[in-house]
Amino acid sequence: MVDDPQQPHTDDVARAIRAAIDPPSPAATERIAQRIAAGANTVRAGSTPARHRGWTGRAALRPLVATGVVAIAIGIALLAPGEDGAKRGGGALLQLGPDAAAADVLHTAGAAAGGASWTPLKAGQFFATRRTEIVDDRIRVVTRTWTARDGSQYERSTQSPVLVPKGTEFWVPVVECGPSAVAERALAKPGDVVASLATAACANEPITGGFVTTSTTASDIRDVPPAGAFVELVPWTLAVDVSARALRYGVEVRERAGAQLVSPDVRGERGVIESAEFSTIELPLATRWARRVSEPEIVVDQDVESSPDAGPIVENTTGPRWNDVFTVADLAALPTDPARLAERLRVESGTTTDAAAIQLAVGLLTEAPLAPKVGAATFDALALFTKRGEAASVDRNTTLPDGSPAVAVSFQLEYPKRLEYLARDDDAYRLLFEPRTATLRAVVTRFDGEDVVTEWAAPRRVARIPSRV
Amino acid sequence: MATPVVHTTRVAGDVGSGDLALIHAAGRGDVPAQERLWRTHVDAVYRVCATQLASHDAEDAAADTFLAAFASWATFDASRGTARSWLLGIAANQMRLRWRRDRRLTATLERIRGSRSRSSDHVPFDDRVIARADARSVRVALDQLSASDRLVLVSQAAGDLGPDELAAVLGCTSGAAKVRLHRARMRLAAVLAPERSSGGDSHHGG
Repeated sequence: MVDDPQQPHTDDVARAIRAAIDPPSPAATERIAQRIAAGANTVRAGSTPARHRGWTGRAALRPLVATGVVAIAIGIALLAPGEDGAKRGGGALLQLGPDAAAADVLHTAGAAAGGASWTPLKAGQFFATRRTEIVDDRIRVVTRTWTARDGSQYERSTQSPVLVPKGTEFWVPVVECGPSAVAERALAKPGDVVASLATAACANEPITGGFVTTSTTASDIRDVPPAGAFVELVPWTLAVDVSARALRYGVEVRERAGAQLVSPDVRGERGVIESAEFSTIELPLATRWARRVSEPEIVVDQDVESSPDAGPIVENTTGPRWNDVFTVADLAALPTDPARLAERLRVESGTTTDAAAIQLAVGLLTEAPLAPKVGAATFDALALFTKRGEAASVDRNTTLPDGSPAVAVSFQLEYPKRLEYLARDDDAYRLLFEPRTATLRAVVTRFDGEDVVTEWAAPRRVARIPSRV
Repeated sequence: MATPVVHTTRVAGDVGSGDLALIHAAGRGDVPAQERLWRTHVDAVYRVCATQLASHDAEDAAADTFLAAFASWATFDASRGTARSWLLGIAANQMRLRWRRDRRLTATLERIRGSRSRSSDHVPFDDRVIARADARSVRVALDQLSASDRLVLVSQAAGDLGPDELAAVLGCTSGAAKVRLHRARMRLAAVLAPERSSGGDSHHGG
């Protein structure tokens, strides 16, 4: 028997957790033994040692490095803005015949995406994306920012702190201090959700500094502001038509020189906003802002949502990996040949089936900063998958979340074995294209009978980070 | 290269070398060494797998963990941890591989369930809630956490790991490991004591 090689770190919590999980039964242990015996023979016969590079094989197995938000399953499209597509497309999908196959729609979308203008992400620039998710009667807004600077990459994700019931008027200004705050504000337009706060001390925040978020309601600006601070509030009014799944923003932007913020007592994971329970909070001071200079490599919980007081900025020399697969550099270097890209996606998806690669491709289209030619190849790769036998259907008579006409291409969702019991026949991804421009405008994930609609208001945005905030 | 002599008796100050020799021997196909290695650690490895996967998948993943270990024996670095943390790290990677494949689906599932509790780093919590809970409640509560939280909690508990070892398993710094363990325990406590999370039942309607 091998002794415990270290001083045990025994505590009651660990003991309780250990007690809650059964060890393998004798029968299970026997099955494990058999499998090891069978596999060990194979190992001896064929493979080289050190199949995994590095400690625990992490280098080979590609760890999750995302800042992550496990809930970011589907995200912002970084495709060409609709206007650009309109100039080129000229009724792109409408020109396809009524019996056009999914591959035709996808090829057309690829051609439209491939012509978009594009500025690659460079050091000192950031890439901001915002998207909304509509789940049943709740809405979540996700902001994602990528930056590259000094040879490192940073990614930041925030989510609206609550799932907001549709039809509710609610203001979600996000107060933040960070290297990109001013630039983000410069990009902000009516309807955006992000507001910024900066004080004089904020100018001294390093690039790796944290940021502070809080929320308030529109009517709660009170008292004389502290000197040197200003608050920009973007009133965010949700006017939602549940039946049409339409979402509209308010347009008013106000700015004041500082404020005492009063936060609504917003609680509940299911989007319950308890009304009329306001409490006063203090304006965040720079001295309270998190600075993580000493541990810049920390990856805040891989799969945990950002919370208002724990929004992660991640720095990692290997780079945050989009969806646990690609770094920004990887994304920039993806093949533009559809067949090669399809193969790459199949390999990277970790399985041998095209269905898994389709999930990856849809994720790329909805979340990742893709060069137009790669975006085009991704659509073409999807078309290739449909030609190789993956079921896809076209629906020409559907609508976008705002009610305007759309053409949809649907893929059946394939389940891993352990989730098969959840499978329903109607589970699918639905890619919604604007017919005139052939631009991907929304993705609907139907899962377990519930639609998760992802749409994006803002196209790709690149701006320079100011040298000083 | 170290000579693959199997020494299994360990004395203080000789922490890593026994592991090293055993792992090297196992990697070179010494069947008794392989068996000694996996029988010593199968409970901890299996516990990690069992909280992420269905039972038959967990058995496969546990076996795969040891097979991967035999194949990558050369990567074991006794100065960076113990056999236990090394194996649990490999098990964690087995889980990550599966998450990656399932990521989009499980993400959707978890979001729809709305099972996540959201809290700050600094909120004090009473971990006696966990220690006093019965095993069944803890098991149920674990399943309501994210896969990542489960991995952190169960790896630490199953291996009875200290912060440095947990860091080796998770592939992060010791400080980050502490933060993650703290947060995961906080969320587990919140699930076990829902009245503390306020705002009513956050798991309804899932």
